[in-house]
Amino acid sequence: MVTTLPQTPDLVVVGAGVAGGLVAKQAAEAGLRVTILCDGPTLDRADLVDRFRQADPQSLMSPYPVVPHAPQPQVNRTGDYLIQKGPDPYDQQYIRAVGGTTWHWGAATWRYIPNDMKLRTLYGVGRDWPIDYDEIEPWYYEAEVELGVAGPENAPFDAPRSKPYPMPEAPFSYLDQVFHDKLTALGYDVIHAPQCRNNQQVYDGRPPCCGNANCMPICPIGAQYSGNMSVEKAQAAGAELITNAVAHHLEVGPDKRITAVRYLKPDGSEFRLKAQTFALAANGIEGPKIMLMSKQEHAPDGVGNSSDMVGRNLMDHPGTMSKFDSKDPLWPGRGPNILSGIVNLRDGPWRERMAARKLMPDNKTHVHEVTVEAIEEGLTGAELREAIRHRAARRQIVFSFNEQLPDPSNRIVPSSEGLTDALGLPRPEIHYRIDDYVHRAAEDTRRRVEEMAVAFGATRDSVWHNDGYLPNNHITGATIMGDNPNDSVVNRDCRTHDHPNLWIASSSTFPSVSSVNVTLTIAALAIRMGEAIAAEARP
Amino acid sequence: MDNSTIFSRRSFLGGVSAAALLPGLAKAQTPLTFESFAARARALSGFDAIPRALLSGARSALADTEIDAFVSEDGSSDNADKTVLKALYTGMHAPAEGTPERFAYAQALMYATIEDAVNVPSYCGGLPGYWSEKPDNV
Repeated sequence: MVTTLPQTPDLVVVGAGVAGGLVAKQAAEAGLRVTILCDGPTLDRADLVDRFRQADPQSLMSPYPVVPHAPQPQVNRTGDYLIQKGPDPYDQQYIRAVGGTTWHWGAATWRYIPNDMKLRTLYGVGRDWPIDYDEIEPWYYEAEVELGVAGPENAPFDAPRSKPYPMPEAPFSYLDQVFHDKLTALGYDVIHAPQCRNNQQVYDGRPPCCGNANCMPICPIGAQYSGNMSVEKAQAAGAELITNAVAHHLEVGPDKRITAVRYLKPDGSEFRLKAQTFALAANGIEGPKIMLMSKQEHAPDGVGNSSDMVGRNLMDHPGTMSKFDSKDPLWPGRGPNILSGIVNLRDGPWRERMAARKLMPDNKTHVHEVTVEAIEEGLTGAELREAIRHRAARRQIVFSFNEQLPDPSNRIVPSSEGLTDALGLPRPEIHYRIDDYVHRAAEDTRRRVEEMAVAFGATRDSVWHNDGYLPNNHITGATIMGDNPNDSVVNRDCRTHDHPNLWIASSSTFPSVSSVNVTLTIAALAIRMGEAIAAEARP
Repeated sequence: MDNSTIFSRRSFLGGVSAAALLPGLAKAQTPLTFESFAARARALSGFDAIPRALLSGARSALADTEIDAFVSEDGSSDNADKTVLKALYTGMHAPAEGTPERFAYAQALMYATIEDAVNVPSYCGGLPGYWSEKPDNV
């Protein structure tokens, strides 16, 4: 039995992360009646910090409670929920709760550079965006103000901007300063990473960062932005929030308009909510899954899927990690987790054959790793203590994000084998392959890091590279944007081609993933969407 | 096996708790084996003082056989040494089989090893921007 709710809001936003929160906030502040559906619960920061400190082991997901009705892929156990069909794993983690995955992020708020949006035109690979950088630039600035971004002025390979960052750049740690000096001498550009973390000042009611060194998995003091903050602003502007409401079906009328969304509560009871307009902001995997689950008379292949592109073109930043032991102590672990970026591999003519990259020195402490290592070697007593100190001060890690091209065969579908979650909804089934475009770049990065390590006085045998690729949870592409309704899901405004009152706010709309973190672009497009929906509702 | 070195988790914790509640009786009621465990832990860890809560937590998390091997008078095994040291240094016991158990976080010895340079993650490190200073010990 389905219970139809009595209210008919102007806008229903499905999802309460950074994207849903910002769409809802913009629309609610413009006077629209807004209801937000979130599949998970609200979270309490102090409780999350306690959970982190008590966790065994401590991982990116350990602070976040698991609720049976909204399962989350767990670190090293993504297969408990995601069905990996390979050939490569797509081991993404995401948080299904109010605030979404921005609870456990490094607050990295990079803009795309203009060339990131013209890959096909400039390099003959991938896809162009239907909009260019100049169209999104004002929205980037709005997002930077909303999230509270601290960043550098006139830094190389940082995108062109019309106004200064809202806050000045966060200072480098000693480690980052040494990386800057040594790598600049090798011809690299190392710049302050733009981040929405309060830099030595109060901003938007948030305290200044005091270097808790725990941005991932949880900022203990709320110095950095998380999506729940925008949801709370939307609520303050009158938006209604319904938690633990798992949307699973969008109803389509004969005129192709979305008429209602159906959701399940944890006890399995089903509700139906009608509205004028719908914004799907339910994560880059869950959103396409809802669309593909919504097969019906007026959408026989699922909602928004007349192009057969829903679920396809799944991308991430397949990551590499390299380690070495520097000759001198740099002491990673002082201050925020990531403070700088090595950026001159973001663009170049070589993008026609290999991936753009952003490299990052890791500023987290690696004391746990070196401790276990020293104990396993049989060290004890004063020798053990000294070895741990020595190595913790010198263990360096360099991460790299590789740009991945959209490939329609990389896709998410509702389980084809009838595998379901606790509510009986199909689990996400992932088909995913990382191609030579990325492999070539990863190989080039490894060679470069070996050269860098020499500059740090590292011995050759201390250099180590990870096998395969690390997930970076930048889930992109599965409701791709384009001008052509035959090969894309949403148009340049992020409105679905098929349904005039269904919009999608998510990195799933991105035609390219670039080499930088995707959240600021999600936020810019979400703010733009909120204003467009409000303008259309109240012309 | 020397039965005098065998002590159960219950008796060990009982001794700790009695000592904590009745300091005057601590010497008499704390089992010799707790002191043996503590002494061995101090010697192998390189720390002259180890928080009692950390020792108690490690004892609680570890199996009796692991503790017994660690304090055995006929020479502890390398594996037992490593198991106990990892527990004391990381605040967690992660057996090859079974569920990991965290019994301490900020008190874990690995953080004490570097405390003059790096704060325990999730605790405030200092005044905003402190991290731009060169660490004192560099």
